[in-house]
Amino acid sequence: MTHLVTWKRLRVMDDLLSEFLTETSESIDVVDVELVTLEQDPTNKPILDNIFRLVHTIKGTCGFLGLPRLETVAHAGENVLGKFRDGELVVTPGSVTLILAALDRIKEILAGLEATQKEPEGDDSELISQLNVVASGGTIDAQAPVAEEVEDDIVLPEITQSSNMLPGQVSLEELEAAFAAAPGPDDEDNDENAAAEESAESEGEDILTRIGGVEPVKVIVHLFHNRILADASVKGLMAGINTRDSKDKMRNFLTAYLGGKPDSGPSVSAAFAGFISHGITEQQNETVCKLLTSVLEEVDLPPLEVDAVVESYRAISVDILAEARDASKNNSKKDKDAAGTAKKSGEGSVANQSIRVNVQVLEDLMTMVSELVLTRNQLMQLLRNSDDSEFSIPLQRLSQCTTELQEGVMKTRMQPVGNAWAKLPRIIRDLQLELDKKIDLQMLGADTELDRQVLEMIKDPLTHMVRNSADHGIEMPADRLAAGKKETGTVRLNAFHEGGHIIIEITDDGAGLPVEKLKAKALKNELATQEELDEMSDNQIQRFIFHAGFSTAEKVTAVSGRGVGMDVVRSNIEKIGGTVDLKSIEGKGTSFSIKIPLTLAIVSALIVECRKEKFAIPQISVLELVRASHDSEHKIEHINNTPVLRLRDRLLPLIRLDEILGMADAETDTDEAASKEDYIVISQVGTFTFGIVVDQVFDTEEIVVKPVAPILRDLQTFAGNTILGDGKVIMILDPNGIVSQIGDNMNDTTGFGMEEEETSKKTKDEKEAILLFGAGGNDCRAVPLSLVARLEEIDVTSIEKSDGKPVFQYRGRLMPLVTLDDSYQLKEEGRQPVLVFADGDKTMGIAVDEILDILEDEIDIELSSGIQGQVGTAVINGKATEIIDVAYYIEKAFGTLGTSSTSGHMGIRDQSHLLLIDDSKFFLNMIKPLLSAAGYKITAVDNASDALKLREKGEDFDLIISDIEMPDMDGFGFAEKVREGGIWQKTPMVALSSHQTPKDFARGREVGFDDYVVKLDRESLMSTIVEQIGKKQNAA
Amino acid sequence: MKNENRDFVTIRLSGQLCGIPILSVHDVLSEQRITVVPLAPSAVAGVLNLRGRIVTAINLRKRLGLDDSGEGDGKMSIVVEYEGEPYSLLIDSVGDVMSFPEEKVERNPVTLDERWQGVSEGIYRMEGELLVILDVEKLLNFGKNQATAA
Repeated sequence: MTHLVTWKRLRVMDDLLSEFLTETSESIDVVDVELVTLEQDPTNKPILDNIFRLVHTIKGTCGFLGLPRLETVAHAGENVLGKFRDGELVVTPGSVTLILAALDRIKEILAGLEATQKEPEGDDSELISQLNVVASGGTIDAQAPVAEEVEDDIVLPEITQSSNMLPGQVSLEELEAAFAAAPGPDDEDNDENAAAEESAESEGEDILTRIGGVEPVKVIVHLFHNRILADASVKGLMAGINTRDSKDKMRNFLTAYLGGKPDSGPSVSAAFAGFISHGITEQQNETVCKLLTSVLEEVDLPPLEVDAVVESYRAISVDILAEARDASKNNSKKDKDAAGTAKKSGEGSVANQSIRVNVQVLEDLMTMVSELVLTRNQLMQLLRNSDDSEFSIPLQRLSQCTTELQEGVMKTRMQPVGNAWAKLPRIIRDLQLELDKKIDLQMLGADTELDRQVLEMIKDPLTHMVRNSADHGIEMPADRLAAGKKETGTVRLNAFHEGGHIIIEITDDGAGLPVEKLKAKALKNELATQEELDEMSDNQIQRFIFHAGFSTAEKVTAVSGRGVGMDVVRSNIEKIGGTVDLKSIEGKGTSFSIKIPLTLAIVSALIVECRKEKFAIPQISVLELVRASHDSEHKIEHINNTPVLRLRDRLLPLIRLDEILGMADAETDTDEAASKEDYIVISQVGTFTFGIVVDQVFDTEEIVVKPVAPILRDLQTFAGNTILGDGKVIMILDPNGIVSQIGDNMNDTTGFGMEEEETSKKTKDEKEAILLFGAGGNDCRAVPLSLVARLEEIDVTSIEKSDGKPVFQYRGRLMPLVTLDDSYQLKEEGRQPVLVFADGDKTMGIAVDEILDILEDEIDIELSSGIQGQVGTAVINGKATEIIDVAYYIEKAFGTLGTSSTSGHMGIRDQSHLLLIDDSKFFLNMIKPLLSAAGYKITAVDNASDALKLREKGEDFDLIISDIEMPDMDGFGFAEKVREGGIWQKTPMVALSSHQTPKDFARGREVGFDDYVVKLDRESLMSTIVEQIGKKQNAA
Repeated sequence: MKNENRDFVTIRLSGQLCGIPILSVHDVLSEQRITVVPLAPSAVAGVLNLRGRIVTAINLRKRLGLDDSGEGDGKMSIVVEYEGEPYSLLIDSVGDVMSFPEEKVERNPVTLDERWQGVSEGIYRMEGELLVILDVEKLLNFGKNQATAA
């Protein structure tokens, strides 16, 4: 874990650094140009302001990134510029030169930074003191002559420069410097060997291998030198250069460069020192190229290779020319020295690999591409209608190009959300120091991409929220320990796509939002009356923090509470059409969830038809398509008018699109439904899977999501609208909205798919699909849908009696039929609805009157029941509902018939003792009788600490089954404790969880669980128990 | 002030002559293909594509509580903009552009239907006919009114 985090941090640093490098080198280039303009027009205020701003930005960023050397240089430069701006100093060539020198120094440092990721060593005190002298109004006579010369260089065109420059004018020091930078003769052999080895190793793709290795290079370099010296126009470039040394360096350089390892040889500046120091011109360079070509042809290289080598040289010569210009500009030896070492031959430096484009340009491009996509769609539509068109092939090509263009343009706009997080580790680090807290920042899904513009908009709110979490949320280490938490608090960021939205969660395991304090504050600020507050749920009260002027921190720290409250965060997020919500449990933590729609994006959508109207469903939320008709494998079945679908081994709740859109027509409904075939779009929202019944499914189309008009914005059902290929406007359905519409009881966070981990332990009873039915009396009864294997209607005449109990033949077997209580009478004629429960290869039916509904809700048992066969009473869909205890009925059915059991786990009656730990009473009640029925002795506790108390008492178990998500101590923590020592150290452990990601599995194994079972998967739970106990017995 | 005239595009709705200030009219459209938006407020007829822009169509008859089944309904529409969003008002027919002096505007008669009171700026007496000046802003903020009413 630790090294992973470190690595991530490094990478973040890298990104920041390269962004900084790109930005700064751009700024410096601008300043370079602007300064010269300023010098000519010293009174030009806008230019001066611009320069000042750019240098100021550079300084600021350096400070942020911790680059002291850069910062001091930039700062000194900025001082002088500041004086210019305030009119305290007159812009003179001398001072401009000095600032340019400072810029050059910055460039050097940047070059070093780019190469090594570190600020190169060096002393800037002289430069800085000069700058300070200028800033304080003094002059710098010593620098004046140099200044004059530099000025000339800038103003004069390059050609004149070099013609002014005579051969041999280069100073000896300079040459020495160049030589010093190159490897000496002693290194030569090694270099050559290394290069030869490299060329042998390489795959034969590089130019070096193609031209035949090191030997030909030697010959080429030798001839090349001879030619240069023979040509009058370029002869001067070699003046004063030791030909032998130059040949060696050039050879080594070329060997390395052509061998694809440019870094292993001498640098460009060393190999072509003569060219550079003599200020080679474009013209001369052309001549050199020609000479090189003729040399290459002379050594009988194939034309292809000749071209390749010349091309390589041209690539290098760009650097050479640039350096030559630099060299003639900076005749000062010191500058030259530093530049020579700092510059590297590496091609394609970061600074040149990205360019900045005005967002408006991208925006326009995007609009045009959107239009192009729509037009393409329209053309494709026309093409589909004509059978055999000569347009088909070019249109296909056009289509493909459009797709690629679209992807390209999209890419220019998309950025990983991690970019917005890049500064957070630093912020958290500083906060830790400042507040003396221990905070671990976790960032998940940093590569989730979202639109650049959206990213910019959420950057600040996100930073603010993370700061808030760290500042207000996480408690002081001592308080955390006192509260039984880990000393280090966690702030977790998690970003992911869901149903065409991006969800960003900010979760902390801190103190949570204090409801009482919020109440008091709401009263004080007159946001609500006492009566209103009494009515409100905790969650509603906690949401007050989104109101203006509502900081919960008792004192305003330097970190947060600077007048930017959550209300600003909320309004910023809502500005881009997003929503923000929170869940908080006092003492446990807070979780914010930001949901941002992809309103700007082009998405792929499935076009469906319902009642002659077309709608688009974002492809991202479509799992699969099922065609259902009466004669096909799949058909829609109805339970009291509630449509359901059997899909493989699941029973899926269905939603009729026409119904939820209010388009259903009662009269035609019944006749048509019987005859027509339906298409079912299986969608998923969070963990809830359901089917949307539509009349017709067309193809998928790339659509441009456009927001709907404000009057329609309240319609949750739609995510937006778009224009189709045929020019028609269609509405885009939002599966999240559809789901939240069908469940009246669902609160508004349904679509968020929030992981209910640390923050919401109290509301542990997660939402599940519940089957409501009536069976005798007026009471509504319920059972979790996941426990129901099938819904059947059986002909009452097929019900037989066996041993005085009703049974019926089902799929070739006898299935016992039980009633909820003995007074319940089976129907005497017609069809009897039956809930079929399966356990292993045994099935059992419960006779019911009617199936009422299937819905998603929390099962929160409010009254536990003394009646056998009932778990208790819960409020579901606003009505008191009895939850039946399936396990009881299974026992009841098989208690009488189960003796004939031949196989499966039901037969094991070795009274193995199991320890069951789960914080959900409901689950315990559900599973305990089931396991007892399977012949195990069960001890059940609802939290890990109670379990550990049992260990202290010395109770021994054959197997421990533990839930993972539990308050206080979770399953992982519990397993660690168990494995630490004590009598349970060797006891097999099985983890139970409703989450089943590979990560969880791995973590489970790591802490000592022997197996991992998904909750409610009874089949595998049973087999795992048998397996684990078997293992234990074998081992013993 | 005296001779300042205001120009109106005249429209006809269930026989009633109305005027919309010409400066707020962006487009006059003939019959368009309109996509129905289920669950939308009843006055929203749907959405339509106007040269790549999605325009919300408002059924003016329903908005003004007129009989919906009148002949010629929705044959024409006038595109106006409200808070940066384009809306198309479905009407029966479009007439001439007329110019009236500012001071000739009459206040709404107090007995006028409440819905009309809400959207009418005033009345012009023309020869033989009365013209109701429609206030685009008031016509289109009905979403908010409904919200407060509910």
